[in-house]
Amino acid sequence: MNHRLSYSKVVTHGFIITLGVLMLYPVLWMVSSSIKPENLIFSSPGLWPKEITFNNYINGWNVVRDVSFGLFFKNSFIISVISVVANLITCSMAAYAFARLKFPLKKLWFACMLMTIMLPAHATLIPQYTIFHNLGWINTILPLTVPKLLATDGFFIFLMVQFFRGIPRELDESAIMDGCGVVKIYTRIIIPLAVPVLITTAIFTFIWTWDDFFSQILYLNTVDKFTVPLGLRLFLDSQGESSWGAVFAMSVLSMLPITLIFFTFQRYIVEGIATSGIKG
Amino acid sequence: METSTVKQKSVPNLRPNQYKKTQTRKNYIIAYIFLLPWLIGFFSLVLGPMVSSLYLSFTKFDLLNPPEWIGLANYQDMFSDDKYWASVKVTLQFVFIAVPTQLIAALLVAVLLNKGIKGVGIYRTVYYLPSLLGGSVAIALLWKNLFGIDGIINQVLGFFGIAGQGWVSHPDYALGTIIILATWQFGASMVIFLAGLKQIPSELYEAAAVDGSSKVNTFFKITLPLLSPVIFFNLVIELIKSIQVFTSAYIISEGTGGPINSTLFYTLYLYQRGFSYFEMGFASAMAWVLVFVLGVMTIMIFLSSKFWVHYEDGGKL
Amino acid sequence: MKKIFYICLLAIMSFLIVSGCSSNSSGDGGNESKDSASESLGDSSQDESSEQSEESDDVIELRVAWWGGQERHDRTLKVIDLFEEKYPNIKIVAEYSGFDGYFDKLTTQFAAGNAPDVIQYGGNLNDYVLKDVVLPLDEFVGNQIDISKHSESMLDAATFDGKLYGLTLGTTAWGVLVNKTAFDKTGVSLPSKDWTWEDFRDLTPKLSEGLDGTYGTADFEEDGFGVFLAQRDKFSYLDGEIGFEATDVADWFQLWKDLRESGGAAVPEIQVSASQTPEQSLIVQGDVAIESVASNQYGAYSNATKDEFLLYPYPYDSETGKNGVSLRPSQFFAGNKMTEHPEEVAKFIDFFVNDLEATEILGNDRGAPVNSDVRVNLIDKADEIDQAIFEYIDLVSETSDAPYIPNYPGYNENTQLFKETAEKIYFDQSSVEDAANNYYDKLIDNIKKYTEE
Repeated sequence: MNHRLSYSKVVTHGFIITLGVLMLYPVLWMVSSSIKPENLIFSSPGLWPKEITFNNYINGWNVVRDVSFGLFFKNSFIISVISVVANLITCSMAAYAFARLKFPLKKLWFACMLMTIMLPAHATLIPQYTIFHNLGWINTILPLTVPKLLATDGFFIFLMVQFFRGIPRELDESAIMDGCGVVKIYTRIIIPLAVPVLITTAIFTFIWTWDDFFSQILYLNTVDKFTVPLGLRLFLDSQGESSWGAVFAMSVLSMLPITLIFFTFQRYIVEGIATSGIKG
Repeated sequence: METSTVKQKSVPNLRPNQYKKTQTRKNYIIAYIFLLPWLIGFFSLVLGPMVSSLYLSFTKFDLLNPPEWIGLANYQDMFSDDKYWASVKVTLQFVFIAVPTQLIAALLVAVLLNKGIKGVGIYRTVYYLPSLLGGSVAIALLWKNLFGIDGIINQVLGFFGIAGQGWVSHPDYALGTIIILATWQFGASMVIFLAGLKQIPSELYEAAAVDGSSKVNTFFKITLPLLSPVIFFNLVIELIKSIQVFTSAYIISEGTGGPINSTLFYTLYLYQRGFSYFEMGFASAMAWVLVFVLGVMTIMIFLSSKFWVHYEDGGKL
Repeated sequence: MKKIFYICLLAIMSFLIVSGCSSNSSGDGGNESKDSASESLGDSSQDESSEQSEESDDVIELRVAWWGGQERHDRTLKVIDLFEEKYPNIKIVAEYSGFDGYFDKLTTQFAAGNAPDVIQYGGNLNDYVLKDVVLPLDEFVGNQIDISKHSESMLDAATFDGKLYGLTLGTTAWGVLVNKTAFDKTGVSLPSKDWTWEDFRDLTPKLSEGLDGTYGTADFEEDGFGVFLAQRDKFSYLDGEIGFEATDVADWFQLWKDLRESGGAAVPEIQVSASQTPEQSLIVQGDVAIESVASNQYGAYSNATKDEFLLYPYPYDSETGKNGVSLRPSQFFAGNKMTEHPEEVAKFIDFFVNDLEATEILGNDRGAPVNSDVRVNLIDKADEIDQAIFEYIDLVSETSDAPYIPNYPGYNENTQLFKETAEKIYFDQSSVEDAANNYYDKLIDNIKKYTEE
């Protein structure tokens, strides 16, 4: 064993751990706030709670009379899962066309796609709402999921285009030699080799949908349709009385699924899923 | 070559030339089928609102009454509006500091967490946690808890005998804390870099190791060039995202962009004019100026990409 | 082939552009479509809602929107049950949320012609009235709506251009919150309830001195300025007229600058970090011992800390002998002008503020009830804090020496302007005089902008 090597390992570990503590602080702080009694959260802001209570969790879980926070978890989960599947399929299709196929007007469409990323959402909010209203989709999950089915999230198309272009073209060519058509190259070569970026897309879509407040508050009107971010705001009145303890408690709970999902899937970003057959 | 001869046999009635034409046409159709979901989405859900916001930018529109055509007045007002320029300044400062720091932090951590350290999955998750907090309502409180006058940062500084500031509430430092927040939430770029690192064939590293290339040398000779499409992506996206930064400033300043407009980001001002002051026409004009500027910047980055982005597919879109 | 393709694309594109634009401008007329909530797709409530639409001939659906915290949601929902029991032919769809995004959503809904029938507003009601989207209630007064027991000033608060546009959900009044625990700690004796600004000036530096890391008082900000004007027999803005001079603004800011220099008021960096939210206010976090609040928030402040808070009247102006505090509306319920069921809207609003059982449930959550009978009924049942609030409201309504003044048109922009002006003075970016003059000029411009239509 090389002495210098283990020394550098210690330094690396030390560095990673120190930095990690900085990253972890907000979560510890949130957990600690969530078990403080309501009247100590702001008047005694230290990390270590002087008194411990789990009332915030009970109170938070039973948000309002006829709905519990569990329903919000369910609703959020449904929307997030649909969005993940939709984004994976439709964005990868569009990205494949942009990255690999030849067709007229390609540059125009690519520019249009980039432009959709550039326009601030606030500017198109009202016409977009009007469209969904005319379709009768308000207070359903359709305005939140159908756009994903139609690949409107340019971010992920662009992301996938960049990754697909990193896959050597020789692989396509040899596949053509083996008699593969355009569709087969997509399913047999591009998709298996793009697993890291697909996992990335899945994780991001899930987490960002889970956290998305603004479009969800816009399109969902009644609490039975509400999602986690809307549920969290139900406790908050900027002028009246808010239940911050419940906000912290439910924030901690709402972070659990996304942390778990991230932890479970992050390894596939780096390791890939058994890409047997073709080497990257 | 071989395939075409094989296929040619199955369609013997066509002359080669004509066959090639049908084949390209068929490929075009397949390409458009792949693009179809996006095309439908673009034309049915995206284009209409985009065009109508462009139209609204030439009108006076208070959201609640029909828009009224006023030509270029919104654009003219914009250029004589001090607050508009204040928001441009704040945004540019943010972009020029936050984008590079965030990207470099993300890249370094990604390289560090790419290879086999024990418990690397836990580290990755921990490093991603701040990004998970995202636009959580708790962020504003957390930031005061950290950077307030009796916050943690000042306690640490006090330990070293340095008198602190009310960082979040001082007009000279408030923007700095938001830059720190953005840097601290580098998780998304980190993940994208990690995915990019995975794509680099391991044989190249093995070959470099055989050649006795140093770690630093390998990083610059292999990692960076092969990662360049992903760096390019992160650069373009971070640029767009940080010019459009909204949530963190909105939450931390409670929507005001204060103190004294020091955190009045472009889109925050756009939102204020559009939704709080009922001037959607003006807000739309701001949005389109932003699109124009971003478009020019993106084109410039795209043009420059020829010189530094290395594509495995040969570089033609 | 290629040509056909392009033509098709062009056709789709132009069709969509046209439909996109027209659907946008149809905003004001697009209300006839039966509420989309009953068309909800793909989830468990489908059966239920299809049943509803079958019997929709006799059952009327009203959408009611409000924002608030947990407590308010629970109480309001109970009242809705009560209402539905009493009027079985009216079904209420409750659309409630936290405050975040409430008005952004409302504005979007108005633009798309999809706003709820009954809407809770705050001090910005006047802006929506100016935009002509609020239902005038005059024709229902005396029929569906009974205002005989409402105090005049609370009706004035919802009256614009001679028309009544909403009913006040609760009465509140500016007051001063005093941290008794902090006073006890320093040995500074509590002021008398008819204290003056001179007392205030003497007492606050002593508090700062006696307390470690706590200042005497927080800035009273724009709310305080309104009271300050009333103490001088002036007013902010009424019926197209600004009722004060730039020098009044300067005097107000100078008063606070002096207080900061004497050590009595919180330093800028602390003051600026103040949040609107009661729980995150300076007084709760122990940064100051005195703060200006709206009386209905007394409970929220008290519940967020272990210290004991007392509700005081504003310090008096010793020259005019005036207190300047008047009763103010906390929130309103108002109808949507485009509603299909204006009479039912009126019934609901009336029930909400006049029904004894309903108001008992609502309690003091949105402020003291406007109906005097209701208030009497509630006082006996109230807890200690609510009792103190009711007493304070009664004190103000008996002794008030100032008229009710509505908010400026362009509420959001002018509030922001005041805040910015104060901050410029805090951080020495502007002298008090320049800042005051700037504020005054900009205010006049803003008001012109919002009222010229």
